[in-house]
This record gives sequence, structure tokens and C-alpha cells, in this order.
Amino acid sequence: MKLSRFYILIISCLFSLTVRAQSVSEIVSFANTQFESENFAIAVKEYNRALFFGAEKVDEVSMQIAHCYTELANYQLAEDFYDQAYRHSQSDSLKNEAILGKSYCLLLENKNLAALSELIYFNNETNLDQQIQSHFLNGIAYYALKNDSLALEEFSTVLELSETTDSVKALLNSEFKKVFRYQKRYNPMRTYIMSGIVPGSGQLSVGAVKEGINSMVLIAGLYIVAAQIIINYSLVDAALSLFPWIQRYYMGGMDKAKGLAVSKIESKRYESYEKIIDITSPNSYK
Amino acid sequence: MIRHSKTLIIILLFLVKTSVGQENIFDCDNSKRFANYLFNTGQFELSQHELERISFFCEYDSTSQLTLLKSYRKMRAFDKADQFFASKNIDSLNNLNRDFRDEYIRLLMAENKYSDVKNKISEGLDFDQKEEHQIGTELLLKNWETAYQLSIQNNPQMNFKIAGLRKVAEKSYKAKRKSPVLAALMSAVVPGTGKMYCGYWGDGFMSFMFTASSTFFSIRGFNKYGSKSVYPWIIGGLAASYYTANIYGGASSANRYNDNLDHSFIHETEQILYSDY
Repeated sequence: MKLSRFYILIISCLFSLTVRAQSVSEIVSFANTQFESENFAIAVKEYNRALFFGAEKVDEVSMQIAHCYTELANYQLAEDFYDQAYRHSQSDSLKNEAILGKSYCLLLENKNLAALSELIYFNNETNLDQQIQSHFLNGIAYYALKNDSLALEEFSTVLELSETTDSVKALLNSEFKKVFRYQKRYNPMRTYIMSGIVPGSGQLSVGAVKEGINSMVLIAGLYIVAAQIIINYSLVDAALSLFPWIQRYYMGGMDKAKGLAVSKIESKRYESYEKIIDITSPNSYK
Repeated sequence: MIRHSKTLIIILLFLVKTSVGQENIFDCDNSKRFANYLFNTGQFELSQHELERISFFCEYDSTSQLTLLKSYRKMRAFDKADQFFASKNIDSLNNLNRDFRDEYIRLLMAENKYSDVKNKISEGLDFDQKEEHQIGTELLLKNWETAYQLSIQNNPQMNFKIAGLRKVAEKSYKAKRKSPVLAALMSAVVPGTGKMYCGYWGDGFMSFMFTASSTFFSIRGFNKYGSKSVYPWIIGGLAASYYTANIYGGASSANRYNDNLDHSFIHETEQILYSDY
């Protein structure tokens, strides 16, 4: 009799715990449904509720919260929850997912070095998809940091692991050949010097025809005025009177040519970047 | 035996009631705990929504109300937070809990209503870090001398904030600002010197060269072609416009210099004052 009472007590306690677990798991299920329907604002709140009221898989729920915040473009909170998922997880695969998620957010915030530092903790002895993603993110970070050789290495690894055809690899290599040439082709210092020797030529060399002609006409006009002053007055008069104009338009033209070269390199690099991403994107990022 | 059974049933009923009661995670108590968690983890938008739900469905609770006001401030939903304090005069403000008064001041500061903070201090509103806000608001309102005078008063409650603000007040008061009038006068006498006085040596030199060369040209033109020719008049007009612009530029340089200087003091003040907001 005494023992039966004891059993009743135990069973009732267990029952209450089951009820609690059930309600939290229901919330997780609801959050999952919202997540799948892309209602991230609702999903994130419900995942948080589940987490706070004792969801069993803290790492998985934290990861889902982080994913929601990534979708909602709140990258700082997403990074915090990826960290939390990493800390609570025992699974290498989940830890890696947290690292990849956080690195992705950091890249979106243009924190390329921080993303690379995060990716150091990536465990390479896991599934192939995650390895591909890791190399892909490394490639993006290196490219943004203008370390093009390492970027090529990483993107090539992505293609190797993805077992893509040789033609795709050739496409990547040819795009990177262009990238390596941009610095030489639109060398800012060379355009600066060119504009110093023949005003406007630097601008023309980077394809800025309007700016080049404008600079040429302006400086030619200054030369004509200088010649007129020398004829009518003297060389000293010309030098004294035209110095500020020359300083402003001649030197200004040289600076402008340098700036245009830098912009040109950036825009060309961006064009190539889009192609490289198109070639190498793993399915999970498409 | 029967007596023990009854006791056991009562205990069981109590346990079941308590445990089932705890399970309703949407009830007021659990919702409040959840809202606090959201706020403490920096998820202010979610905490705001949860607390708005609580304020609608649950009995008034000052802690939740305060967290809601904080969430509004963090989300920069100032209008909503203002509604709470709008109808309150100084007496009713002083009757509020100290945390609410602190939050009210933080709200005003977040809205850049420094004069309102100053007024509330002079009206006798009591709140935390009053001295810090007194010096801070004067600095943010660019009342450098008043801020300095306040900062050198003996303050028994010396802390890192007051010490920091005292330094800023001293620096800002003793900083040598440039006079726009003097800069304009200097530029009028020798073109470009107003800008040089403000530290913009390159700009000043170029102003001088532009004005001097066009004036030189104009004089040469008058000497060569006489006053009946249009050419020296055009160049003279150009010289006059350069000269005038140079005077205006001198005064602007002084204002720019002062603005940069003031901005650095304001930035330092904000860093110190808002460090624990």
C-alpha cells in the first residue's frame, strides 16, 4: 500500500514534466512551420520562447534563431545565436554549421578578416557539403581582401570537391587571369603619370572618354592662354598668373585620373566577382 | 491509514495543480519572464512586442512597464515612450519610482532634448547621475564655460564619468577657437591669410595665388589697353569676385575649424555619458 502511493506520486510528477515538454515541443513545431513558410519574424519569437522555456536541443533551436535573424538581415543578433549554438553543441556538424553561418553574416557585413578568423575553427573532417561551403566563404573573404591567389586556390578547391567539369574549372581560371591583369591594365600610378605627360590621356586609358577630353580641352585652353601671355607680356607673367589654374586643373586632372583607375579596377573586380560566384556557388548558397 | 491517504491526495493535487499551472507558458508571469529574457539578450523588437501584449492582457506591472519603455528607447520608438511621460508634471515625475525617472532622462537624452533635461534638473527632478547629466548637457549644448564652472565645483561623488566629463569640460573651455571676424579681416588685408590662420595652409596659398594673379592681370590689362577696353574689366571683375569669395572663405574656414573642434568634444562627452545607457 505504502509503495503504491509512492508510485502514484512519481507518476504524477513525471506526467507534469511530460506536459511541459510537450508544450515546448509544440512551440518548436509551430516555429518550424513558420520558418518553412518564411515567416521569420514569427518563427524567431517562437524559437526564443521554446529556448527560454526549456527546449531540449538548445543548439538546434539557437541555430534556427540565428538562421531567422540572418534572413531578417539582423546579422549581429544572428552572430550571437550562432555563437550560442556552437557553445551548446556536441556535434561537429552543427558546430561547423554555426561557424559557416556566422562567417556568412560577417562577410555580409564586410568584416572579411573576422570571417576568416571564424573559419579557422572549421573542422574539415566533416561532410563534403560543409567543406565546400567553407572553401567558398574563404574564397569570398580572400577575394574581398584582394588576396587573389588564395581566393583562386579556395574557389578551385570548391570546384574540385564539387567534382565539376574541366570546362567550368577553365572558366574560373580564365576569369582569375582577368582579375590578375586588372591591376596592371588600369595601374593608378601609370594613369597618374600619363595624365601628367599628356593631360587627359590617363583618363582615356581607363575608358573615361568624357573626362579625358574635358581635361585635354581645359589644359589646352590654359596652354593657349599661357602662350598669349608670354607673347603679350613675359614668361614670368604667364607663370605667375597661370600657376593657380594649372595647380587646380592640371594637378587635379592627374589626381582624377588616378581615382578613375582605382574605380575602374573596383568595378572590373566586381564584374569578375559576380561571374566567379556564379561559377562556384554551392547549391546551399544559390 | 485513511488520514495518510488524504494527506497524500492533497499533496498530489497540489503538485499537479502547480505543475499544470507552470505549463501555461503564455500566462502573465511566464510572459513577463520571457520578455525580460528577450530584452536582456538584446532582442529589443521582440521584447517590445511581447511587453505590448502583456500590457494589454495582464495587470499593470511597473517592472514590465519600465522594460517596455526601455525597449521603445532601444528601438528608437520615442513617440510611444513619450506618451507615457507626456501628461506628467514635475511632481508626478518625482513620485515615480527612481528607475522610471532615470529612464525618462535617458529617453530625453536619446532624443537629443538636452534643454529639457536641463530644465528638469533646475525644476528639481531627482534622478541617478544628476551631476554627470548637468555637466554633460551643458557640454552637449556647447555651453563650454558653464560646463567648466560646474565641473570645477567640489563634488563628493567623484566617479569615472565625472572625472572624464571634467577633463572634457576643461579642454573644451580652454581650447583656442578661431574668430570668423578675425579670419575675414585677415583675408581682407592679405588674401588667403584667413584660411592660413585656421590651419588650412594649402587652401590659403591657393586663394592668395588666385586673387593675386587675377589682380595682377587686371592691372597689367589696364596699363596696356586702358580703361576703355573690356578685357581688363572682365579680369578685374574676376579678381573682385575671387577677393570677395576669399573673405567669405576665411570666415567659413574659422567656422569649420570650430565645428570640428566642438564636434570632437561632443563626441567625447557622448562616449562618457552614454557608456552605461
